[in-house]
Parts: sequence; structure tokens; C-alpha cells
Amino acid sequence: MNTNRTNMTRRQLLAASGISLVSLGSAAPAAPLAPVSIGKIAGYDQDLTRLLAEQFDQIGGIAKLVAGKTVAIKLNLTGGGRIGSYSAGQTHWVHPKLVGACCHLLGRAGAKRIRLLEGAGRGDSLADKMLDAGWDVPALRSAAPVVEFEDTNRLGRAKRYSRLKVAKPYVYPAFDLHPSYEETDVFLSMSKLKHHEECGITLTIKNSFGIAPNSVYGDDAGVDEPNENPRRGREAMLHLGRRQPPKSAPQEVDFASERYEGYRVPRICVDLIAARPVDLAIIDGIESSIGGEGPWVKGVRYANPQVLLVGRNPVCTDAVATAVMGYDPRASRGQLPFRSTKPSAPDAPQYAENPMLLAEAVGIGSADLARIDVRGVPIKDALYDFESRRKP
Amino acid sequence: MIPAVMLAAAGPEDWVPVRWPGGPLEVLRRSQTSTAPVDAAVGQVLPNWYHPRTLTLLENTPVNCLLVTWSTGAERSVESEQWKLVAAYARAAHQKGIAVVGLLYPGADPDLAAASAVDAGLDGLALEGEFRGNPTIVTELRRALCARKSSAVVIPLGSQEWLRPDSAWPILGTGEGVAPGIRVLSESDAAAATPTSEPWIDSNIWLIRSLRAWGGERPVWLGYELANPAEADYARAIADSAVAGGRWVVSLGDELRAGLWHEGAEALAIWSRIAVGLSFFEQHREWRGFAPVGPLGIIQDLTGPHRVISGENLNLITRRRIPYRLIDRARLARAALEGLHAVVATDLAPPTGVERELLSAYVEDGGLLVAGPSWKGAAPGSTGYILRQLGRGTILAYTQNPTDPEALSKDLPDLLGKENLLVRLFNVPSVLAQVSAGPRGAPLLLQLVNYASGPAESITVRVAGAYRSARLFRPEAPPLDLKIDKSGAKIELTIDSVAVCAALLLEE
Repeated sequence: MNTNRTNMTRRQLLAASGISLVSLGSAAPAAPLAPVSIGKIAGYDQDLTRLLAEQFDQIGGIAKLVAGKTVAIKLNLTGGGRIGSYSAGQTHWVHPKLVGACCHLLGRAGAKRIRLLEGAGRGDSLADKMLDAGWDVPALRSAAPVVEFEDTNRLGRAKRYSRLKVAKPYVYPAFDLHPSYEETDVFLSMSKLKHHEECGITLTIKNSFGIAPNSVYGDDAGVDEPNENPRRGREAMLHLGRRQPPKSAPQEVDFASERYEGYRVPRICVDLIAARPVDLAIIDGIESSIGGEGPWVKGVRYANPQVLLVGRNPVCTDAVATAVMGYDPRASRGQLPFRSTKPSAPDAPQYAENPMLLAEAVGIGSADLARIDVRGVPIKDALYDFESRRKP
Repeated sequence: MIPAVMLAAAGPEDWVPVRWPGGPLEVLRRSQTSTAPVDAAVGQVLPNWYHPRTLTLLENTPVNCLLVTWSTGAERSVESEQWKLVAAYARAAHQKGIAVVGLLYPGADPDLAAASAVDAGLDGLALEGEFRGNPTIVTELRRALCARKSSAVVIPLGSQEWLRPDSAWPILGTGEGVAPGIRVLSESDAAAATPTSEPWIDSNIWLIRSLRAWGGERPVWLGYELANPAEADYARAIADSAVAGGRWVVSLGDELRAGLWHEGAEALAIWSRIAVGLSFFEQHREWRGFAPVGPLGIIQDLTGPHRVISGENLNLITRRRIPYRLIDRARLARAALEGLHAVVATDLAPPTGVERELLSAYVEDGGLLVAGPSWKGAAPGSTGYILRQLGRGTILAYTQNPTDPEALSKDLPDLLGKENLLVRLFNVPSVLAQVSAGPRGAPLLLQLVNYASGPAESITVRVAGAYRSARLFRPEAPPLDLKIDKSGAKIELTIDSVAVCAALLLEE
């Protein structure tokens, strides 16, 4: 496994130095930095491959990163359904044309094997999930010499889960994940630029929530062992902490910690990107949605930001993406966009933690825009104000 | 007098019906029910509709049965005028080989209506609406017709509750049914439903299948009317019934009929396309005889205590696109269970000794029986279901009575295993399917109906089995041979677009 060596070294340094976590909200100069490219494109029918290639070049190129390597891509294909007249790829999933362009460029850069990863539905393969959204799976399969599809919500054909540890955990000290997340040289996270009902925004860090297999972290996981026929999501276990994973998997660090999902979910996401570091982040904001992460959120609507972001560091990339959405990436919990829009009791908490600051605090990357090298289109020219476009 | 049915080219089993209301009685009826056309110009068409020139509209269409306004129990003078008008019209229709059926509404006098219908040479009488105040009207009508040695038929178009499997009706009809279409559940910017929406599909496929399984070989008619129909609504209603082997009694909107009366180009074009939709299924009438196939058997008992639940089970299972065979409880036999992966028997509450024996044998041979709590072993009051091995098979007994249709339909794909579904469709949020097969199981026919206002595109079809040819039929296009991709013991193919309906014929 080729982890992000620079990040690991800094984290190890932090850990070794005994420095306590910086207070959230203030800049963390020690956090790693990497350039982020912003591209503008009118739609998925434009020359997406050319734009993405340019953006890869703007962040230093990908040939050295992927040549001769296995690249795993965690896609954001959350849930199902459609928003209005739009395909899932136009609103809450990454778009198949972007996935195809990315696979093509990775193959052209010498990647020997590309594995598309995401949790699929009950009894479906990942390819079937894509087919069900109208994706041209054969075209995707032929976008590069070797393109594979893996449902990582269960073990499937794999023999055992990979245990990936978290150096400085917030909630879980380690995770049992599908081995595809370990058996890869490069880990690419491809997410959507969109809101999230409980967490405020969904970007690269949040995309990693989906790498936790439902077999282990789903609400119908076994008490002792994973359930290889999972039928439920991760709400009770990961969102609300109402139960623990099977005894076979690592348990929470502190069972008495806060159970509120706005507190837990961002922390778990940061734990997950610490366990499986992201080597390359792509955020699809060409078309998207406002008001929630999927059609099941009331009031969610189509958006057309026409932006594509690419970076090597997930925190830096998310910080720039947050700014492109019109928000302050260093906003505190409870400030926009880090607040829940989920209907709740009047006295219930409404905040969501800022995952970028949480990640910065454990040394994964910087959320400080002043320090991040933004390339391509300036933020001000890519700005698409999500908040003003929310449904009243 | 020559019996009208002898002049009509087709018998009731081949009637292609259209509602054709008109005349002074229709004007009165619409006025009394507050359903008169708002536009006076449109309203003026109604009294004149039984002019012979409206029969020319039927030329070059498969329509061969008109449902005309006959009796509402109105003043005798109005009804007499109506009968006189319709009698002349029926004679003209018969000369063109078109059957005429009189519509009776609550309030009609059965003896008088039957006598006048015989005098006018009508081919039948259809009972429209609720006749709760006169539950014996069917018997009275039949008696009155028989007394006059008439072979005119009586067709029910009221509540399903009326229908009896042992009735002598040549057609099982009901006025129930929903206007087929989709309802977008998520909020969106889109004003119209589209194939990429998250829809709830309103369909009558399950209802027709249920009635066909129950009523044997008799034709099934649905007599619901569309409210303010758009052009595609007609085609969808025709297809929704036809793919399941039934017929929608075509019901034209007032404005369209006014347009036809005035020979408006747009109205004539719409009517022409409606005729294309009807013709498509009449050209392939052999498909009506194809038997539904699938890995799931559902035992249906419409005389049971939970008829509504039974119907909802079928509705939701159809919406899950699980190919199934319906087995009427009265016809449950060992042969009916052959080849099934699973059998749903929640309607058997409780099963008889013979049924229990039959189904136990099915399970022991390796089948999966999905039953309700009346099957022994279930603990009433608990939630979910319990599983019990029996021989080589499994009994799954839900503990809730009646079984929750939503839970049942959700569980079935998992219980069956999606790889065992025979046919799987991908990217079809707005499409429902009917899977059937010709004699001895071949060819395999997959009929699709798209309930969205826009076309369903890029549909992937995966079918278990080895097929060498796949031909796609659509009303608006010539047949098209599709490329088959073989994948192990399955094939896959792609349908580029389905406007309203399509049929895929697979040959081994």
C-alpha cells in the first residue's frame, strides 16, 4: 500500500512531539499543503477529458503517481433515486462521463489496474448499480486497459477484511474495510460538490464515509461477526452510535462520547481518511444539487456550478471547494454551512462539525485558503453561491 | 330481426371497445352529474354525436365495439328519443361490422332497458357505476334478455366486488382502475414527470392480471376514464391494459371529440395515433394468449378476507418488476407449482389440509414457501418472519396478519435472489414490465410500458437463458433486431428508447 508519505511523516511528527491538537478554527501551519486546481466547464458533453488532463497537469501531473500502479477510485454513488428530471450523475452522484474521462487518463498515464469502488445495493453488483442508473458500463470497462468494479459494502469474493488503523482517532481506532482499500497503490476519491443534510456539505472527506462496509458498520451487522448480507444503512451505528460494530471489528475509543450525529459523522469521516489516506481528490461540481445529499432530502434541487476541482490533498481540495460554494472553510461548527438542516426537536442540537478543521487538527491537511496554492480558475471566478440558491 | 351479434364481425372476446356517449340522454346525464363540458361549443357536440358521420372515424381502426349512452332512468320521453336515435345509429354501425353496447347507469329500469335494447338490436348492455340500490339488476337484465331470446351480453363496468368467477358474463369488466402514470415524490424543479424521476407508478397491470387469473379465458375490460387526458395518456392507458392481456375501454375527452366532430387536423392526428396504439396490440393479438412466466408463484384468493391486501401485494410486486405467475386458489395443483423458485401463499388464511399437503410437498422438493401466520410455526404478534427448513426447502412465515404488502414486496427480491429473477431490467424507474411466453415456454415475450411523459432510454435487459434472436416491436417504428451480448448463462441487450410501450420477443 502506498500511503501519502508526506502526510504520514507529519502526523508521525505531530504524534511524536506530543503537541496537543490545535484549537479548531485557528490555522494549523503544520498541516500539509498541496495545490488545488479549479476548472470551469459548461457540461459533461464538453471536452471533459482535456480539462481533467489540464487540471492533473496543474497539480503536478499524475504519471509519477499512477504509472505501473493499481489505482482505486472511491466513487460517490450515494443512495438511489432521482431528483426531478435529472439523472443521478447530474445531481447527487459523480457523473459517468467524468468517471470515464478519469479512467481514460489514468490508463493513459500508465495505471496498470483501475478499480472502481463503492457500496452497491442489496444483492446487486456495483456494475449493476451503475447500469440501473443508465451508465454505459461496457464503455467504462473499456476506458482503460483494466477497469474493475467492486462492491465494498460486503466482503464479496475477498477472503478477509483489511484492518486499517487511525493514528490519532476521534471515534474509531481502526476500521475493518474491504481489502480493495488496502490492496491499492493509489487511492483516488471522486466526490460531488453538494450539500449534506446532517453535515452541511459533502466533499472528499465525507465521501470516505462510504468506504465503511455495511456488513460491519450497517445497522444489521452481527453482534460477533459481520453480516455478509447487509440490508440496512449505517445510521444507528455510525451516525448515532446506538450500537457497536461486531466484536470482530475495532470498537469505539470512548463509548461515553457524544452521540449526536453532527458531532460523530464528521469525526468518523476524518478517522476514515486517516485510516485510508486519499492520494488524489476530484470533486465533481459540473452539475450538482443544493439542499441535501440526495433526492430523499426534502427541498433538494438541481444546481449547475460548472466547476471541477482536483487536488492531491483531500483537506486542501475540500477547503477550496467549500470556498467555491461560497462558504468559509474555516467556519466553526454551527456556522454555515456546518449546521444540520434536518427537521429536529427545538431543543436538539443543530450543529455539524467542520471536518476540514478536524482533519487539519490531526495533521492530514490544511484548510487555510491563504496557504493553499489554487491553480487554474481563481476562486472568485468559480464561485457558485450554494446558500443563496437553497429553496426558501 | 337478425340478431345484432351475427352482423357484428367479432364476438365479445374480440371486441375493441370505445366509449361513444352522446345524444339527448347523455346531455341530461352530464348536466345532472355536473360533468357537462365547460365550453359550450364542445358541449354542442354531445347531442349530435350519433350522426352516421362519426362512424367514419372508425374506418381503418381496430375499434369494433361502441359503448353508447342507453339508459339512466330518466324521463321516458328523453329515453325514448335516445333509443330511437341510437337504434338508427346501431343499424349503421352494424353495417360496418361494429358492435354496439348500451350503457346503463344507476336508476335505469332493467326490464325496460333490456326490452328497448333488444328492439334496437344492441349487442349488449354494460352496467356503469354503482348499482348498490339494485343488487339484482344483473339477474333481472339477463332474465329480461333471455325472455326476449336475445343473445345480447351483459357487461359489468362497476365495482370489482360485483364480479363472480362463476358468472356467465362473457367479459369481466370493472370501472375501477387508475389513470396510468407516475407521480414524482421528490420535490424538484421539473414541472413534468420524466423517466429519470423518482416515481410512484400508477398502473393497472396487476389488476388485469388478477382478474384474468380469476376469470379464466374471459376478456378483461377496464372502464375507468381519464381526466383531462394528454395525447400520451391514451397510448399509455391502452398499453397498460394490453400488456397484461386486457383492454382499456378507450374514453375520449370532450375536447378531442369536439375536435373530431369538426374534423380538426390535430384531433384527427391524435385519434389516428390512438388507433395506432390499439392496432399494435391487435396485430399481435397472439401475445394475449402467452402465459406469464417467472420464478415466483402467487396464490390468489379473491374471496378471502383480505382482498384489498391481496391486490396491494400484486400491485407492489409488479412495481418491483418481479416476474410472477398467478395461481388462482381454486386451480391450485401440483402442476401449477412446477418450476417455481418461490410461492407466495399469504392469501391462504388458513390453508386447507389439501393445500397444506400440496405446498409442503413443494417445499420438501426444494421450494420456498412464503406464507402468513396461519402457517404453523409462526408466533402471532411478533414482527418480521420466521424461517423453517422442511425437506430441501424453506418455509418463511410472516408473523403479521395480514402480511404487510410493502414488507413482502421488499423482501421478495432478496428471498428469490436477484440472479434468479429470469428477467432483470436496469435504468427503468418509470417502466413496468410483463414477462410471458408462448406455447411450451417459447418464445419469451417481454412487454414494457413507460409511465413517464418523456421516453425511457438506455434500458439494459438481462435475461436468463440462451436466446439467438431478439426483436423489438414498438407501435411507432418498424421491428428492430437487437444485438445480444452473452454473459454465461444469461444474455444482455440494450433498448435505446421506449416512448410508451415496447415488446421484446426472444427466440431460442
